[in-house]
Amino acid sequence: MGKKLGTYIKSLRKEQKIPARVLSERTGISKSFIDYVENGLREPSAESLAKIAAALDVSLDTLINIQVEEQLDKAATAFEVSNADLENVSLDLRAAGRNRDNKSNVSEEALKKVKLALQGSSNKQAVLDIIQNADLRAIFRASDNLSDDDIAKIRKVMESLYPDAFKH
Amino acid sequence: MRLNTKRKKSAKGVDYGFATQTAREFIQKYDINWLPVDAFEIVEKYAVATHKNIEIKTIEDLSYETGLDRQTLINKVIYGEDGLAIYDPGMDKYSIVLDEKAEPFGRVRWTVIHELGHIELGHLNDTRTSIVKWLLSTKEYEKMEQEAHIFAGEVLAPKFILYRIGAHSSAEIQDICGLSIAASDSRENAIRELINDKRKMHDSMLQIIPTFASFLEFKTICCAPEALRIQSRITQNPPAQKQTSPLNVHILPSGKYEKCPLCGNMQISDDANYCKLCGTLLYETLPQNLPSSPCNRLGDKDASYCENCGHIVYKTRIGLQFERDEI
Repeated sequence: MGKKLGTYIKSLRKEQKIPARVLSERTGISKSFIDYVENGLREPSAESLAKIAAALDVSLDTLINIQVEEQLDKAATAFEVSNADLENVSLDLRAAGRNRDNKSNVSEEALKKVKLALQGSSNKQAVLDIIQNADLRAIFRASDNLSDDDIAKIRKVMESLYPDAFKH
Repeated sequence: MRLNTKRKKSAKGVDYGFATQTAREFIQKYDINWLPVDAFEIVEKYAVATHKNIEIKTIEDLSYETGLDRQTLINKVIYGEDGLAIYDPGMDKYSIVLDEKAEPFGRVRWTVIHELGHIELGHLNDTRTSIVKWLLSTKEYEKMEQEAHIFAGEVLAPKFILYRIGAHSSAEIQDICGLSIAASDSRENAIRELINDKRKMHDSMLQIIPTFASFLEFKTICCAPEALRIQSRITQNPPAQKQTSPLNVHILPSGKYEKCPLCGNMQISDDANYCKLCGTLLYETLPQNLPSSPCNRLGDKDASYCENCGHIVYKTRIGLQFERDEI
């Protein structure tokens, strides 16, 4: 869902002193759906986005760029969760996924993933670079088959490229 | 007004006084001055002011990021509720997980402030990371749920503001506060209790009146009544008596009468074309470029006619017809 996109649309509408019900009339999109979009709870279709862009006199490109940027942010978190070493994640989300007998009713792996997703990506830019850069992606995928020496060499290269990611 | 200073506690230990007082202080502290309340904006404001790391996450996002299906997350992480606040002590981070498919939007609004209520009321801590049944005794669980419920009700539909407006029915509360039918019914009961027993008036109820001053302000609006958001909440001022023969009135160099020649009204704005009390044109000769009517202008609360275009105007409270940023 597009929280940044929604916040941007809401701020534009408010700047122009256009009430949500008027934006609804101008776009033919229900007031309720606009409420959901502005608060990041629903993703507008390209057609709805074009109508909103026209009504708020903003380029569709601007809105789409925010949407894409946001989707990449989520992809970064998803990427990090799916590649995380779950063994090292502590399971201290005590409330979630348990029943009254304090027994887990959902797998530990699932709960650890939820915990990581709620924390968000720890090094979003580095992950985004991997997602967006085919060469880096190939290195990442190949790392499972590399020797320790090769990995150490790649690590040195990566450290120079992403010093922040290797700070301890 | 008699002040009720006793703190009411239920058998379950629910501290009504604490929850409502916290809500009223919250309204003042975070300048909640308009209805419906923008719950998502309030969460942002609260996070900035308290330096708390709070993020709202939807089930859809969580499902995408974890690869788990929606139903598992709804059933096993937020326990079939519309939302859940989760505190991560290691990260010192609060997450409000929402089922974004909950409808109507008023239900989401309620859930967000309910979960924020758990945070503000201090229900979450290092060992109590969420308010879920299994983690607490039934009494504790019900106390905290009820307190968050009271908090959300008072923040989203402040009892005394609705009492002051005269909005006592669930349908009106739904319209004005943007809440679900169930939440509006619950607030209707709270307001009826206040109407039936004035001893329940509390001085803290009055504290929030200045915060809502602009929302409560009476104005007149020049428009067709069907263009107004809440048509049941409009009245008209009776027009002033006109003299049968025009008064002897001085004409200013601009060609405008110094006062209304038919009713004698002297409260005339610099840019007025018509008398706001009787609707008489304020020029001896018809000026060019008179605005078309109705012109949607806001006027003084005592006006019967629009000073700009001469149309009949409707009296209403500003907040009932306009969004906060529209004015």
